[in-house]
Amino acid sequence: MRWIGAAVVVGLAFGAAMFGVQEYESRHADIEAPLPPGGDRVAAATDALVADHLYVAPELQRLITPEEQARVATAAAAADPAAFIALSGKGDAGYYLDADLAQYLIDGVGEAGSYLVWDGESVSGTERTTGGDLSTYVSPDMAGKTEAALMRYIDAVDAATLEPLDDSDYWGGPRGGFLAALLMVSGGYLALTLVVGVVRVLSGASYFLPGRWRDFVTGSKA
Amino acid sequence: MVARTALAGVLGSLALLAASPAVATAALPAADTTPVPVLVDSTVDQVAAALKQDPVIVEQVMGNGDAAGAHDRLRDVIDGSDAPIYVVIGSTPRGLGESDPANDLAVRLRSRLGAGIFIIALTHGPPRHAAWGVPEATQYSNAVYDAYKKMLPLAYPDVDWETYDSENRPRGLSDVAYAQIAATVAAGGAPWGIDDTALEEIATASWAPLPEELPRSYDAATPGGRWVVGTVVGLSVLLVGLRLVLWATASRKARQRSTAEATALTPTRLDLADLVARAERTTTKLADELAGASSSPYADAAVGYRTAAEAVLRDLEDLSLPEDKARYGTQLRDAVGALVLANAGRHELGRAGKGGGTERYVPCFFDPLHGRAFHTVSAPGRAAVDVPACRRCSETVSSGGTPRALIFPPVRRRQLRPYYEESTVWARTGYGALDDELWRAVVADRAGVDR
Repeated sequence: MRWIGAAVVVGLAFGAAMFGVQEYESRHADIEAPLPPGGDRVAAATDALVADHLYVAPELQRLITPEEQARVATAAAAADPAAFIALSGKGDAGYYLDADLAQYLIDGVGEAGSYLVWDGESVSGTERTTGGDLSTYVSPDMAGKTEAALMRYIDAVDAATLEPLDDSDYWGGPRGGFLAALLMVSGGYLALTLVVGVVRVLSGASYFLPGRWRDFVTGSKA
Repeated sequence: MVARTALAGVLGSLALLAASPAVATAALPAADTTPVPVLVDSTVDQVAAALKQDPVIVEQVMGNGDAAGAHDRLRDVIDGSDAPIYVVIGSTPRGLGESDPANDLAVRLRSRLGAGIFIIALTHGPPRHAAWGVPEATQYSNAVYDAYKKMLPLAYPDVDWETYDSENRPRGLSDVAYAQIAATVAAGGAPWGIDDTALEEIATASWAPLPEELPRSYDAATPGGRWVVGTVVGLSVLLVGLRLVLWATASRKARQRSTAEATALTPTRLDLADLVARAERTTTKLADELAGASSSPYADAAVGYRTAAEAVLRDLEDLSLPEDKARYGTQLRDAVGALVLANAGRHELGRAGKGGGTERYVPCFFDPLHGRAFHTVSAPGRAAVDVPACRRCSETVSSGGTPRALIFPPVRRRQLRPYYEESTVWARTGYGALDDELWRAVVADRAGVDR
């Protein structure tokens, strides 16, 4: 009888564990999944970055002359690590945040380096690095003349190096996760037995619950 | 010859028109093929001129990812409408008011282009739609608003748009979708409206909703995270479940003991005065019997019992009241002890005269007031201890229960327990059940403790 009950519990435990993992995955983003389609601006910016390391939206052409654009593009391509710049404007062009566009561009261009997205209006742009971490902080500050600000940014990227990413997950992989869970469950179970025992004593019963763990082995009659 | 060519040209165009709407757009004559300047660099006059060529302008910056597609869909809807319809979706032209540039632009375009319906959505300010010089022009606005309100629940059936929950609400529908509705209502003419199928088609189109934020890597599910969740849930269910199974399948004895301990704990009804009176009577009888007894080891033991009993009774001359819980409790314990000592002493004398059998007086361990113990049982509890018990207690134990023990009224409720779990000389000796010479233990105890 005891062993039948134990078998049922083991089955329930497995089921609950699977359900828990499913719930966890549904509440947390799956970054391995492909990005939703980006749209026309994303495609235009990606193509421009692959060709010239620089994209300037049609409505932002007044911010930077063609000659200045040529200089910036050359400098960005020559930088090491590489710099990619998108002056992408501000509207509803098929993506939400500038950081989202940066992610699309990183995905589409596929080269290691620093990616800068600026909407043409804000005081600073959004910078994302791929292929490692920049050794020094690169400020996406865009105050002042556009060409000067972009050159500042490119110089800062050029002066830095790409450090390899410390790619460990917070829990330290499956082993770390398992050990952390053991710690949590042991602490939690002890606390639970303490609470149950105290409640029982206060209501007059014995501290310990009837039944001993060794009954599974010595099998006293159920 | 020229006429025939021209006719052929027109027929050709018409044929293309009939073939597919997308091709028809391209086939329409474009009087001027120079690229229109971007709205943000244009004056209102330039915008008006551009609209005369093509009444729909959709720039990439506001096209929700498919500006060309949006343009074509809007052209499809407005081509064939009686009243002129103009749509401008894109960056904000120069020289417009700051707070409501779309409305400003609509008014100025109307003065240049004349009567018609204007649908405007710019990068700055809210989108606007207005009708001038058409039948029931003022109703047009309301019709569009009504349609838009109906569209939101169609596009997001699971979202409650009434309650304000900015955290979890989707971003909503794009200006391109809004313009499509406004244009569809406009193309239908008065009375203004849009049928539900057309509305649903727009609401559920892939190009209609605004895109949400992309998932961030810090929010991702990791292998370690999966193991944490799975192990915590699985192990917790396992531990708690197995413990419950053990509880449910514990031997009846164990479960009974557990509940019996909860129910058996009420103080034994005791009357101090009565106990003391009985003890005094029995001690007096003992003294009388000793006076006439011949000397023997039993008589010596009986003298010891009498001495002990009298010593205990001396402290019981001044009886306290139940309200004085501590002193009352002590006196109760002593009163029982005195009674047991006196009985034991009389029994010893009886052994000498073979009157009470040859065994010494052994009271029931669980409650000495039950009388003599003729059986030995295993005490219910953790340790395997064999104790003497009266017939009734021994029967209770063998049927798996806990005998009703002697429980003195406690000073504090949580001290409620059988007398043998206390730390008095009575508990240590079990009122003689565990000790052959109770009187010695009592005398030693009184000598050592300064009362």
